[in-house]
Amino acid sequence: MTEAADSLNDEILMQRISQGDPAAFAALVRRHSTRFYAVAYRVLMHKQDAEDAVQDAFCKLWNGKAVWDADRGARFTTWFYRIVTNQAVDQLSRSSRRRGATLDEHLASAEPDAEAVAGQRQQAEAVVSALAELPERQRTALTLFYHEELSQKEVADVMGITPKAVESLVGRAKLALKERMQVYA
Amino acid sequence: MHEDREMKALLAQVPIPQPRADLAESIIVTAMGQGAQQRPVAAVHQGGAFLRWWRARDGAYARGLAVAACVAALAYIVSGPKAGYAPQAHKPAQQQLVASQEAAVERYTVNGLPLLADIAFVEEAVFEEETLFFDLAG
Repeated sequence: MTEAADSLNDEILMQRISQGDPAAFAALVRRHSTRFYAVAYRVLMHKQDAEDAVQDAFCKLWNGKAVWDADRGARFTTWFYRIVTNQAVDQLSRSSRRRGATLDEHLASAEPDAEAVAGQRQQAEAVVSALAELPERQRTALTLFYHEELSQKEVADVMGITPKAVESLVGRAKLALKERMQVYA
Repeated sequence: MHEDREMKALLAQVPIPQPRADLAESIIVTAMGQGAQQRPVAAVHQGGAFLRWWRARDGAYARGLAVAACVAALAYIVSGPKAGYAPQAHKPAQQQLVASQEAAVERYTVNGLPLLADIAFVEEAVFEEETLFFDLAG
């Protein structure tokens, strides 16, 4: 049953999950947990919080607190981006950690290769610091648009705003990022 | 386009720490262990838009709405008598307008004098005058 569930597409897995199929849910989690963890991490900039956020999002999916409507035309991934980013924002408001402290944890837990090259590390530090200082809505829009390569319309659907607002958020984020990079460089 | 490539390259420099190795299994176990599924019969095509929206809310939202409804009901109850149900002020009987035909004959002011002359009585008086003139004419 597990092998059969692994070969099904996301939409069919979601239909089975709605009927209470645990194998379908397990297959969906194994397929997407790392990807959505990365999305949550880019919003939260903290490993533990990102793991908690993606776990809470999947729990909401399984418990029926987040309902996906296939008829609305949105792909599962686009819809679940919204669940995860909302959960990440909730997590951010609950977390009492200062962003400065998370940067040290972030760099300490990064791959050891990053430390081997001093110039790359310095650049990475600057980017991380600049990103961490962005407002979370700008950071979310930037992540979804550039890193996840969603269209403006899809980002708007995920964040519950208009495409025009997405354009504005991304523009402001890029500007702020460049200015901060100059400060940290 | 060039700017987009630059931005992507910049963001790609942010290393993402690997999640813990058992993240997926941990999620599955936690979700399953949270008890029986609280889901509609089918997550798709279940009820109208309002029902789907309502089910998407979490317990805190529902509790907040319930509390707000109780507070509103309590405020309505303790606010006192409502317009339209308050007892009418007692009107002094300076003029009593009577509807029935028999009572229309007796209309009194405070001092006992009739308020209005009875119309039938006036008409009879005119008729009597005319009769009198005919009699005088012979």
